[in-house]
Amino acid sequence: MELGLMQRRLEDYTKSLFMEGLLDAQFLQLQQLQDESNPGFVGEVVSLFFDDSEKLLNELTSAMDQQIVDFRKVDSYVHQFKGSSSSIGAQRIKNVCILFRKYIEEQNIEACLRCLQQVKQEYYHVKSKLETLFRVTSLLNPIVLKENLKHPLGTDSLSNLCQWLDYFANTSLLL
Amino acid sequence: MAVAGAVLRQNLPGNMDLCGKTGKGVPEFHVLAVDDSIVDRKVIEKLLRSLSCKVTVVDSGSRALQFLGLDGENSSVGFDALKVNLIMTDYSMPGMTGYELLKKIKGSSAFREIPVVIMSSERILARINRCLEEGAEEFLSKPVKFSDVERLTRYLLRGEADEVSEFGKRKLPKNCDLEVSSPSSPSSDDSSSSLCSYSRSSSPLPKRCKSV
Repeated sequence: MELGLMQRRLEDYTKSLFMEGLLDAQFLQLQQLQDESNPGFVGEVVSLFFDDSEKLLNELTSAMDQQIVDFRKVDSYVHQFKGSSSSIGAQRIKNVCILFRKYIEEQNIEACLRCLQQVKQEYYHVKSKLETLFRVTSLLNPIVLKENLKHPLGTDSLSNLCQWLDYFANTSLLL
Repeated sequence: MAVAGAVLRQNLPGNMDLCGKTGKGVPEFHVLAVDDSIVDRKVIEKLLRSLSCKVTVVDSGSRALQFLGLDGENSSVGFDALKVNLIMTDYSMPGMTGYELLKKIKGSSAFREIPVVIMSSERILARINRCLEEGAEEFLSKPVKFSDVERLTRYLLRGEADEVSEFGKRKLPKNCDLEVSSPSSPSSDDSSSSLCSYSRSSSPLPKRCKSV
């Protein structure tokens, strides 16, 4: 019963990410591809996305930081970021990239710098939401749960877990 | 993501085994996928594997040519490369674009018969036209979905000729003239819009149009 309710809370959380426009149908595609033969698929793709994005954002920041901005280079990075975010369904990032490219075409440096800020914000926002999602999902796995009760968790996973436990404590559920 | 996936997962179409083993000794189809994006490589590989295809994924046009033995080096062609049934390539890649790769493949006597599909996040008509004219079977919009790949493998790899696509050539039944300008498949449904057939010799892009 408790596990069922937690699962429903998790579904609600996931749904909210779609409602907020953070994720789109492409994310559903990835979930549909996940199966017993590869139960970590979505997590793996998203993980690759995070690694790839960190590198891209560094390159992008550096390129925008130059005395003379090479707009073709900047455009290439933004195009890549638009592609990868679209492939995992990170809709808001993708939309900022589309806008970003428009300003690149106009060679409007001020607007580009604003877009760079915005794209970073959107990235860290969706990253944080997805990390929470994956962490809680893995914690729901009873085996993982049992193991985690034995060993100390990292501080951020611990605080996330505490939030969830508080929620359930308030709804009078025992874990 | 098991929980969320279980809730939100829709049933994948039955008969998933479109590319693969039927248990009767039918060989697997081998797809070569080319994409410079690590995320897209992971996704396309999974899409194809879920359809039971054998997949080789490379990160550039030059590596694709290397794999096929078309890179001009005196490397012996791997046994694997001889059995590629389909090539799917991204359009925008650094170094060699998907279009340039397409030209090299179509320019080779050994590999020109292999269907090539281009994938791109940008729907630029001139680009699509150019690729189709150069012999690409189809131009898929990114992000690529399961249904795109499933449809593709069904008609390209199993030769089920009734399929049409938004940007691909109409597969005509064998007894039809390539120059015929109206849809000629006997099984086409007149009440639904269908593509006009598109022959390689003419340049207009196929548009959705009602059958006459």
